Amino acid sequence: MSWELIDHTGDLAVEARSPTLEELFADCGRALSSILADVPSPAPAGTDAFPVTGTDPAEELREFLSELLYRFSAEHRMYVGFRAGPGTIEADWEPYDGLRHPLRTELKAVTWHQLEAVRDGDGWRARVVFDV
Amino acid sequence: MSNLRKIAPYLYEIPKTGAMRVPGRIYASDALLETQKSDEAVQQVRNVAHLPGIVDYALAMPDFHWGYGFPIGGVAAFDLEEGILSPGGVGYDINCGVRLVRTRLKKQDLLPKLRDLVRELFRTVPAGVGREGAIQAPRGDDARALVTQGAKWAVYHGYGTPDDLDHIEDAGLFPGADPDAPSDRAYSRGMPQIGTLGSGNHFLEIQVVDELYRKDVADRFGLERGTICFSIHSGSRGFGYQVCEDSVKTMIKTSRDYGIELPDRQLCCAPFRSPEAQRYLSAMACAANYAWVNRQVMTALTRRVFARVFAVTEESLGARLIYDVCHNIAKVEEHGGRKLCVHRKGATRAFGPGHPLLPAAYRDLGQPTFIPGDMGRASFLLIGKEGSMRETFGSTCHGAGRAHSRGAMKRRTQGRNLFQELEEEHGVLVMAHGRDSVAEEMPEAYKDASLVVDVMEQAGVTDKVARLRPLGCIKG
Repeated sequence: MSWELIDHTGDLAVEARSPTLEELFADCGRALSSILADVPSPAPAGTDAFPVTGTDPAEELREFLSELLYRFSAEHRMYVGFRAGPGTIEADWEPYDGLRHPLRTELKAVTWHQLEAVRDGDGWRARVVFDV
Repeated sequence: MSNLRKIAPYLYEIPKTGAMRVPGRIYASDALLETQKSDEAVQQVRNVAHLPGIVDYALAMPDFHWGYGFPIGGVAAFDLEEGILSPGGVGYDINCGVRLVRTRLKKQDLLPKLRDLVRELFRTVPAGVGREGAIQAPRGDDARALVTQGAKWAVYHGYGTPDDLDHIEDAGLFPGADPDAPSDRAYSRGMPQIGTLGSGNHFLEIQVVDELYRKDVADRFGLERGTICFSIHSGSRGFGYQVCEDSVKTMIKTSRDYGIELPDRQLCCAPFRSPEAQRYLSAMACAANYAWVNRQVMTALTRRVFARVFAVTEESLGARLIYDVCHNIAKVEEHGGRKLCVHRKGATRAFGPGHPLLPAAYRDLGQPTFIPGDMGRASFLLIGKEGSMRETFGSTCHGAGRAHSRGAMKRRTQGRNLFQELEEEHGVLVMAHGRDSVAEEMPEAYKDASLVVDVMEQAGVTDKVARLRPLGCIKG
């Protein structure tokens, strides 16, 4: 796993290290989904595409994760798989079902605190803090 | 703790240095300060003191800990002409708050039916994730009415009674709500979630009064040892979270445009009188009203469950709202003859006796406020004293404050049967919607609330009225 939960008072923080910026986004997306709910048997019903421009990587990452959280919260889309391609992320989703996707923790927001998405050697590194 | 000067047994000062406009003040005992693992939260108090127009002190209550920009447990008041308004000084969960309801049931009535009650409440009051709503989601004009009318909307729709409104801070209505101010996203996230608990540290708890400190006040609230109560801790759900997110995005840019220098980006703000600040205030008002409707609907659902389980009418149950308070809000209030914008983030209003904003039934007593502890130990009903207006802009603590991070709690609780532990060691029946909720919220995750409330009593801000022990708990 190229992401991990790190200790943070009162909330949840994720650090990820990935070979490309797109993979970094995908790994953070996987982290978000993993925090929200368990998905023992994915059965995607659709796929959404998200652009990755790299103009402001940290802010773009926050916006991407925030969009995933919005779609989970308001459109009940549980994202169950992520694929990184040049300049894009494809995210598979299925309708959220409390029985198929046992809830772990609901998240309020993707914060700006200690937000980071930077080059790290040959790859990329990110830190994101979620408000629980 | 670096650079703190103890000025009273319960009070530390951060001297004004550098670009700080005022000193900082932290209400705490030596024991509580030792539980701060680092200087981060103290630094945040220092940072708040840099903001334009801040009056007197940047304050922290004894349950303070690290937050986004402003510390949780922070109170800061700003001049309306020279000062600012900051969404970070309120938090994502606008009008997260708590209410205490007392019943005519006694402990001996409750215990034989506790398991049934907890199970029925778990079934009836959802966490509100996915499609599980509690009531039909309001749409269109009805949704706009909800955010402008506040708790009155709920009573009008059959959730509660007019008497409830007299026992909610500001009668459950934040004035100046503009239904056009929140984004469409706030509505689409929030409306289906009306009447739901949410997750994290939100709860619906059944409690018994087990100690009285001010019997004179407890009598006025209809409380005695053995009285069964319930409390609900929740806020503005996705509606408020979205309002905050949208506003922080705007204010990060606005701070730059107005030339406001920030030691921390998350203190982003705008001058109080600016269009941006006023728009946030209007949107925040909508979210505050949403939260009151939310807690009002859950109260009504809880009353119905109690009545069903105990086979009594709601009237004979006598489930009377004692008071409902906000934890996260910014309000224009009068203090020392000045109109100020008081930000409370993880802090509770606690006006003293005689304040004109208190309901007539409580004006001679002072404002009640409820301080939830953890789900294993105790919570406290407090009453505001004259000292609160003098010391803390009429504010007190809001809870126990975390002792361990969520990650640390997951590690500490691995392999333990938490539900069994809670029942056998703490005497509390717990049901939780979210798998990680219980691990992250075990009693040991929190400091001892009694230490926190004792500091505010020493400071002359609030008095303890009663202690309540948990018997059953629904977690999000």
